[in-house]
Amino acid sequence: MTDAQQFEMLLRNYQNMVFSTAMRLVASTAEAEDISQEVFLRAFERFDELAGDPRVGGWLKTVAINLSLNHLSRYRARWSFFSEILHRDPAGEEAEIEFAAPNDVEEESAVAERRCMVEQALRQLPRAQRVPLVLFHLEDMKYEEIAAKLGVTLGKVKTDIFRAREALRKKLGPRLQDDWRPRA
Amino acid sequence: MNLEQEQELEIGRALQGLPDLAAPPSLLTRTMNALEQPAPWRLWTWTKWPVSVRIAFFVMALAAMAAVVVGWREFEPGLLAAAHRCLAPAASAGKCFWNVLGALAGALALAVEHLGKGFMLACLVAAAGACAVCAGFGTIFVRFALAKPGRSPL
Repeated sequence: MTDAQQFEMLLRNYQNMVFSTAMRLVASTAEAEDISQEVFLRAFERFDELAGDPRVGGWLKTVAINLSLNHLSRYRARWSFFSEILHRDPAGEEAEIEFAAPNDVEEESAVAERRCMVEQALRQLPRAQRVPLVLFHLEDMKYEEIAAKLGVTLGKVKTDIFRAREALRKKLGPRLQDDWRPRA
Repeated sequence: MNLEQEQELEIGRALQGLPDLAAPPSLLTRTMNALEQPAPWRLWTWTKWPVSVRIAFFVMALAAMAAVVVGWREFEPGLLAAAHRCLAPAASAGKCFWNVLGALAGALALAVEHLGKGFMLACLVAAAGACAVCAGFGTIFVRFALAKPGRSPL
């Protein structure tokens, strides 16, 4: 198998994970796709080291998080005002959400529907709340790590996460009490 | 368990249950295309240019710098006179502007002296208040103008 084929296989295996990581942070399909491409181009530059390394998934995720946060901080000053007002990202709240194919084909559609609702609610959160919430719950980062990563105080991180949870609770309402795990 | 812990648990369960999103099919294609057709070397950072091109560029940069230095030494008197002729009107306008600024600063100093610091402070507060009102109305206007139908703009 050539290097290109091996790399294509790696890309196929990890593209959903990398895209999801970027998408949940930047909440824009086009931007998440650009970031994912950049992640894989960087991976290709270091493919000699990464090929066959069991930690490749972690490396890709870290790079995806860093590039997403860089992207957000780069455009924060220019676009934050209007992006918060407009919230008109075509890929944001209106776009259809498509999950990677489930392993269990008999997964209940109700679970899928609830997941869609969570994704939608997540995308509708203001960036200042969404980013720390995603880093805490989906990337398993601690409050202190998030504060250091975002360059804000610990108190702000905690407040933003608390507000984000409040907002999600309001949006999701009683469905939050349901069982989120797919039934076997 | 307090409210915050309960909330953390609920939201955590909901978020951690999310599977990966499907990457757009174009991601694979465009990434592989980008790898097969890398950007031309002139778009790379200088340190990644081919060595031969870097040497040629360095030599050309040295030659250009030498040309500038030699040219300056050769034509300096004529150039200075020409520059003086070209810049004289602009310099005159600049001097005039500077004088106006000086006069305004003097007037401001006199006003502060005669009207009192309290009055000037009140003027500054009023100006800041006016700015805040303008920004507030502007924000409300933008929100109303760009709000989606059926959704509260505020």
